[in-house]
Parts: sequence; C-alpha cells; structure tokens
Amino acid sequence: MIEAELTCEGDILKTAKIKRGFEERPLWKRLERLKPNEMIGWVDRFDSLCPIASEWALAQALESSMDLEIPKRTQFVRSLLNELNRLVWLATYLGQVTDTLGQRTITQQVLVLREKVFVIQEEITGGRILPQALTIGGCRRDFAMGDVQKVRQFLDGWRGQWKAWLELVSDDPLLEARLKNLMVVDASLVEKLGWWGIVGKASGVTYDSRKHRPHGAYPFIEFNIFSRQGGDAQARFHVALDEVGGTLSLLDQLLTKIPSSIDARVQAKPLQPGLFFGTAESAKGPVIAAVEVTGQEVVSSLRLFAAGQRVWPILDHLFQGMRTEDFQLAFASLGVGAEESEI
Amino acid sequence: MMRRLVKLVFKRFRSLVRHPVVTVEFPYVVRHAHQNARVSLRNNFNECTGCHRCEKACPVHCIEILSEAYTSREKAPKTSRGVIFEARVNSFKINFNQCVNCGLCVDVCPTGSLSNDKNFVLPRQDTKHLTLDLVHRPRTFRRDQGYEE
Repeated sequence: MIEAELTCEGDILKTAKIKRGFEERPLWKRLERLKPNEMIGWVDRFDSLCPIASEWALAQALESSMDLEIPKRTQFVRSLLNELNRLVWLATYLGQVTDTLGQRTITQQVLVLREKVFVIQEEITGGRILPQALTIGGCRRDFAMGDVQKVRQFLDGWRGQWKAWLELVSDDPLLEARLKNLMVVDASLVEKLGWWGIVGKASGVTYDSRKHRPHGAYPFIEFNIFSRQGGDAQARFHVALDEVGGTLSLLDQLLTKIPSSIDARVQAKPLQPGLFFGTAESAKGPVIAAVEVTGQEVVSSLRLFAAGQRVWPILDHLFQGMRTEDFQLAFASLGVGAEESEI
Repeated sequence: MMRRLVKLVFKRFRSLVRHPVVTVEFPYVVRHAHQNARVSLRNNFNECTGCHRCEKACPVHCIEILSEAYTSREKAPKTSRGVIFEARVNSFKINFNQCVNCGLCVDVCPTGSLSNDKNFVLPRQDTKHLTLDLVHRPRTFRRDQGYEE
C-alpha cells in the first residue's frame, strides 16, 4: 500500500507527499550477515516482482569477486528465467494502469495471465513468487528433461491469450485520450536520474543493460530495444506492450539456442577483496548490485540499486501543478510503485 | 469514434463469456501442485543421521532439533546407503511461521532425507501452533485426500 498526502487548490495539485515505507530497508543488514549462497536466495525480497534480476545482479557481483566463469548453458537458463520474470512485472504494470482507469475486467484478465507465469515459474524453480533459483556459479536446478518443451508449450498458450488481451486494449480511444500528455518525463531528467526501464524508453532514452552491458545469453541473441518519443503515460503504456512482445520473441530464441549439453557445476571459490558490481535487466530497468569484500569470505557491505529508488526523492515535485484526478493514473503510469502495490 | 467504442464494448463482453473461470473453491476444489513446488518440508527419519546441518544452514533459525548421541558407533544404525547415524533424533521442530521456504536446509542435507514437500501446512488461528514436530506426524493438508491428522 502506498500512502500519499495531497494538498489541492481547487482542481490543481499543490503539493504531493508520497510515503513509501521501506526507506531504510533492513534487508541490507540481514544480507550482509549471511553466506554468499544464502545471500542470493534472500535477495529476492528486494523486489517481489523482479526477484530473478536481483538474484542475478548479486550473483554476478559475487562471481566476479570469485573470478568464476559461468558455463553457456547456465547463462541461457538464467536469461530464460529472467525473461519469464519480466513478464510478471510487465503484467503487473499493465494491470495497475488499467485498474486505475477503472477497467477492472481488463485488469483481472492480465492478472490471470500473470498467474500463468507464476505457475510455470513454480514448475521450473519450485518457488511461485520468490523463485530463489540462482546459486553461485549456476542455477539451483538446471532445466530438467522436458522443461524446455514445458516452457515452449506455456509460451504457445500464453501468446494466444496475450493477443486476445491486446485486442481489448488496443484501439481504445478512451484509454488513449486519458493517457496522452499525462505526466511527461523529459529525456534530460531520465538521463540525469538514470531512470531507465520503460520510463526511459518512453522518453527516447534507449538504454538497456542487456545490450549496453551484455550479460547472460543476451550477446548470443538478436533483439531490438523498443522506444517512443512522447515521454508521456501513453508512450510508457505502449512501450510496456511492446516489451511483452519483445520478451516473448526473446524467449523463443533462447529456447531454440539453449545448449543441450549440461555443463559441470562451477564450484565456488574464496571471495577476493575489492569492490564488485553486477547488473541484470529487469522490466523496470537494470538492477545493480554492489558488493564490497574485505578479507577472505567477508562481505563488508552490500547494496542493490534500481531506478525506482533514485526517483523517489524527486517524485513529489513531479506531481505539482497537475490535475488532482490525474494523480493516481500518473503515478501508476510511472511504474515505480508496482512492487509496493504487491506488498 | 462511437462505432469504435461500440465495437470495443462488444469485444470485451465477448471476452468475458469466452474466458474460462479461474478461481477455485478451496478447500473443496484443490489444484494440483507441481512436483518441485517448495511448499513445506518433510523428513525421512530412516535416512536422517542427526547431523544438525540443516539447523545450522537455516538463515531464519526456524529448525530446532533435539537429538541423543549414540554411545558407540558399532551400535548406531545405518542409512540405506550405509552412512552411520550420528545421533537419534528425538524431536525435529520446524516453525512454519518463520520458514521462508528457501530450501537451503534441503541443499545441505548429506543423505537427502530432508526434502521439499508439496502438501500445505494446515493454516492455524494462532502462529504458535505453526511449529510442527516432524518426528510425530504433523497435521497436513493433502491435496488429494483433504486434511489428515
């Protein structure tokens, strides 16, 4: 739940104070006390809608400290899990926007689609919402025999239902009219704050860590970065719709190109001192993990960053001067509160 | 504009009719859980050597084991793979109110006696009743058979 204190002057919003909670997340402190493998399992709680990206970013940071080389198949499995997880965030985002518009049926239907992703996630990883799927040097459970077919079968069914859902929102003049010119975010602000993800892409900033900081199996895959120029809620909504299509095509490629041979599991090595980073692209933008290691096997400091965190301090100013009735929709369209709406 | 709207409304009504019902009337109708689902834990005490590794690995300290060491190694029983028991487990309590289903305890189990279970732990009114002793058969909800003692 998100609490907001609004001061209005007539129909115009004078000040908006959004209380987020979890400002000082004790998760850091909890993680720093754990062993490296336990950290990866626990970091899911950073964001319940992008758990794989959080795990992967931290795993990359710890693996670079151990100087490990990850086998190609593992990279593919990680990328597959991440792409499946991106669908969860995107479906939640679309559901949140349509729910704010009062289109409850559409919301319920996109949440049904999200539920199907949870089901396949549980089937593959064992965890429905928090998969805790990665370990240092690999995945907790490699794709078993038949898992590739299962995911392919899921994709075939999901794609059809997605197209049916898309028909319900595309070509809706009321939806387009409500979202047009709402909460325009400048490209300069995006670049200043590093506000990547759908907000950045909707403003024309085509940063995507899958392309610009290649990790996992993404260098072996061809894909485009979707972007729009408007910077408004309508552009963000359309970028999210495009991203779902892009993710589905990426999943197809990953399933086709995944190496069939199972590599030997990489053994963990002692952590080397230094400052290490890892990045994984979630649907809301890249999740960046920073780990400081002092002495052997001691993580002295650990932090995770996502675009949403950097934006929260300035959010209050963005809403000033807008129409009060637009506040909720404008907030939902930014996608920064998607995970909080879940908590 | 009006025509587009009417068309859209028609599309949405049609999708309502065509969309299958997704909610189920739990507990009368229970959905199948996947084999790998991490829902609960079970322990096969014929294979559990009482090594306490799961207890140490648990990041939330929700496992509490009471065991009694065997007086001599010769008298200690063996698992099906010939691993000698370290101790006799008298009590194997798990607080399912704290358990986060991370599965780290299952990962460290040397004999594979501890495993993820797909049967739900029965919901309770008071959280203190969610601490179950696996040595004594816990009350669980079996998807195929309903509640059992």
